[in-house]
Amino acid sequence: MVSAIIKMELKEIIRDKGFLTSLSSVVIFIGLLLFSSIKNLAVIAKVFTPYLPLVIGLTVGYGLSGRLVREKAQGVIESLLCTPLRIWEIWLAKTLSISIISSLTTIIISLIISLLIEASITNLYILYLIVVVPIFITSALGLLCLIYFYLGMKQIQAVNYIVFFTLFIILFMILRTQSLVELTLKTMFIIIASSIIILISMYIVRYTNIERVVTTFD
Amino acid sequence: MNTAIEVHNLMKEFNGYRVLDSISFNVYRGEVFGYLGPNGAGKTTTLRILLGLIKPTSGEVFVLGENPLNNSKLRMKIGVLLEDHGLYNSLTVYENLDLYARLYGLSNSLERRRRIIELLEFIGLYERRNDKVGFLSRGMKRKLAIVRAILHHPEIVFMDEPTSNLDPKTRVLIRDLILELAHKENTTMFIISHDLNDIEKVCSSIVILVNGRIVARGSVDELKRQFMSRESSEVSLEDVYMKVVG
Repeated sequence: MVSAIIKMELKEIIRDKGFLTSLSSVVIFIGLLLFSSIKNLAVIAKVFTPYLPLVIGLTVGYGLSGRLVREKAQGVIESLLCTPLRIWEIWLAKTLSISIISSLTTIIISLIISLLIEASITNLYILYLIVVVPIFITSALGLLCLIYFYLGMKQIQAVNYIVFFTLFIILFMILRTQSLVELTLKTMFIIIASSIIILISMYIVRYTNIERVVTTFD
Repeated sequence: MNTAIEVHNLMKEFNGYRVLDSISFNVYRGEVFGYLGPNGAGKTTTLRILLGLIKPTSGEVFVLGENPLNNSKLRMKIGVLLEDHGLYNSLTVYENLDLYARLYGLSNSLERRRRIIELLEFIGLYERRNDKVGFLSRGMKRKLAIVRAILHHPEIVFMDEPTSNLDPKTRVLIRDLILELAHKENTTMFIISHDLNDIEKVCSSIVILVNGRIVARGSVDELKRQFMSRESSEVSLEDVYMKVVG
């Protein structure tokens, strides 16, 4: 049942205007960044290569996750809760569908940027893109979807800003420096921390009271 | 008579505020049951408790003999039409129904397709089956949500405002559908509505709720006799409702 809903969610996301909006905002942001730093592309390549995919993934995913708030208001989540689906299955389907689209978009855009700034695309970088980035995106979006499930509309608006900017600051602090050893350690940290976040989110959703979610609809 | 829904001394409080108080009623299999009351009376809260979405503060609720709370198996036997249609706007009419048919366990794709087409033809949406739901009118979305509720031959159908936003012809169609499901398929219909004309025409038993308490119950004729002094043929359910609700 989860696979059926993920398949339909993917169709819905791709056809939704929200996807184009988030994609456009990322392209504009990256375009401005590259244009303003055209003389220092080498610096950009060095500083931002590991940082940029995470930012892109978060931006696209953050844009797409807004649909969950809309779905709560329009009764989609309540309709799904009335089916035999359990709440953690709905959360999982929503998180995975948004994460799949965000990760694929991120990988494609990151590779295009690397080509544009003539940075070397190493095997290590590709591994980073297809392993670390999706795990990070899934954990961040899983957490965000969890927050959207549990909070009322006004609380969501407030939390949105806090979560979004905090993540950016933490990311920048983690990935600012770059010796290979240090980067490897930090990457390991991202994978472990992200996995823990995914597991904690799953645990919370699995053993939660549906009432907590339903009473935020009104 | 087999009982489909049993509610005993149901009480629900939110942050100390009592929304439902001492609610008790039975709904029998194959019955069309009307649950009425002004806005804020506690109708939606009752519905959510019956669907197992929220837990009562005290009292007992049984749907088809089972506790509905976190009961996935029971949900297979239940169809729901909520006040908000809850459809995916970027999916087509057919895709929306196909998704819910899968979720309700219609695993055979041929059977699923046949059932969806049968219902779309009945409700008059077959020609729009490949259109995105976002492009449909409110009334059409309502019709689609009704089809979604009965797609899997549920034993009980809960409907919140089934005829809102519908044109007169479709209202008649939906009223006939409700009666047909109840009489031919023995489906229990639990209907919340503000349209007293529709309720009077389809419901065999009614409960009226005010401020979380039941203030009237019985068949339409019983309520008319109980609350109005004139002959029952001269008064409408609306007259009774206005007198009861005040």
